[in-house]
Amino acid sequence: MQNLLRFLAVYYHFLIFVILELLALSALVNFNNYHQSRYFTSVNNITGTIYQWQNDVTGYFNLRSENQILMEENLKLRARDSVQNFTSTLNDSVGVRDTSGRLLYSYRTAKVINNSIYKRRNYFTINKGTAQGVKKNMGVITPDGIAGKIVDVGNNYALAMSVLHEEFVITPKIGERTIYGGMRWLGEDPTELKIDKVSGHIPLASGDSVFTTSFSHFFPEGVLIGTVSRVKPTNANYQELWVELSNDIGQLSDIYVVENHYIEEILELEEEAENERN
Amino acid sequence: MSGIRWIGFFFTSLALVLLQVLVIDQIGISRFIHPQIYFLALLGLPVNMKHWITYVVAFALGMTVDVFVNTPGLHAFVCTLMAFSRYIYLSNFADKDWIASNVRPTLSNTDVISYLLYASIFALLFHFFFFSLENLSFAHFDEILLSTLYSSSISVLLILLIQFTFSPRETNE
Repeated sequence: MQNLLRFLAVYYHFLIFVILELLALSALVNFNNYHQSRYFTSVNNITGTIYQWQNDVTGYFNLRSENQILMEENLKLRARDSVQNFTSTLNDSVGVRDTSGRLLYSYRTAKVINNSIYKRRNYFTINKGTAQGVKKNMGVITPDGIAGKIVDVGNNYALAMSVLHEEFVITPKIGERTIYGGMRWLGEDPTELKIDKVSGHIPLASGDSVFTTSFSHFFPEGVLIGTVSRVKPTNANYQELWVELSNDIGQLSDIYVVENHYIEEILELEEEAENERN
Repeated sequence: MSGIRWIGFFFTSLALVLLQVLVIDQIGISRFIHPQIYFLALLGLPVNMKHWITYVVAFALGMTVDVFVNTPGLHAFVCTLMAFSRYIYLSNFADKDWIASNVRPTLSNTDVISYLLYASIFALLFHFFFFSLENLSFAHFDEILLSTLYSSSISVLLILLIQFTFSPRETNE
């Protein structure tokens, strides 16, 4: 005991150092795996409010381009004959029903108040949280295409994993053909995603539009992701595919949060199936 | 440090953190350029301060930045590691006058050359630790080195600029 105390008396500096480093490391590893640390991210009320203030100032800088985007979207919506399928459910959200009248998806508007594109794991913060009905696992889209999914929610703010995140994987489709292999960001060019192994027999050409499938439960089917920018055959059986994002992730401002009303059920079923297989 | 010095330190750090997350982090030039300047708060701590206190201060400072940029633990780890390296540096390599006079290493309290050396060493260390840990591997080692080099250079320039602007000459405690 005496020896232990003497040891501590001599080395407590170093011990404190080691303990702090272990604490930091465990916080880092846990966050990257589970995203459950709402007090330690920008969704807490203090940092959220500070970013909101900043956004109140800088938000004026891109009003012109925002207006342009909104006008274009209005035009598109007016031209679409399925407008009747949108049913107003809440004051600030819009819902989409399937043919039997079940409410499948609801949309809420929100604003991005903090964003990054040059890290390996990019996130953005939006100014709505549990108080406004935003939950984990909701998708984030803009009129231009997909942007990310919600991974952590605070009272009034939420954190979304950007498509520019190495763990964000999505299964896309081109035309009516689903492209298997998992599309993800490589951590380099913030305008491009890539699929490593696409079967060689699928005819692909640059310029093809790439859309979401119903496989990614966070987004409705048929939301634009981008266009094929390059195709490169790797060998006789496979080809590599690069997709240029239609969304300028660095300029995200006004976004829609998409709620899939059946996501919990779907994820639960998938987990059960996964457990049975193991 | 006396109570009033701690309050001063608190507000300086807060200002540096806000400058970091609200201004510098918002300027996206390239994926190789992420200059960090808020660790300037750690560089200016008195050289004879008990080093376990500097570790705790560094951890708290890093965690504050982490909360803003959504990387809980990353900055905290790097800052604490930097406080430790600073202790090693000060007890082995630093100017003996610094230790004798318990100086707070700022541009106005020291000569330009030794301050530049001091700031550059820790800017390089900080960015190297930061980018290595952010990648969680050395798979992109060339990119880590490039990012470290570019970001550190800009960071040192900014630090000198801040020091020229805000650092009044002061008497030592």
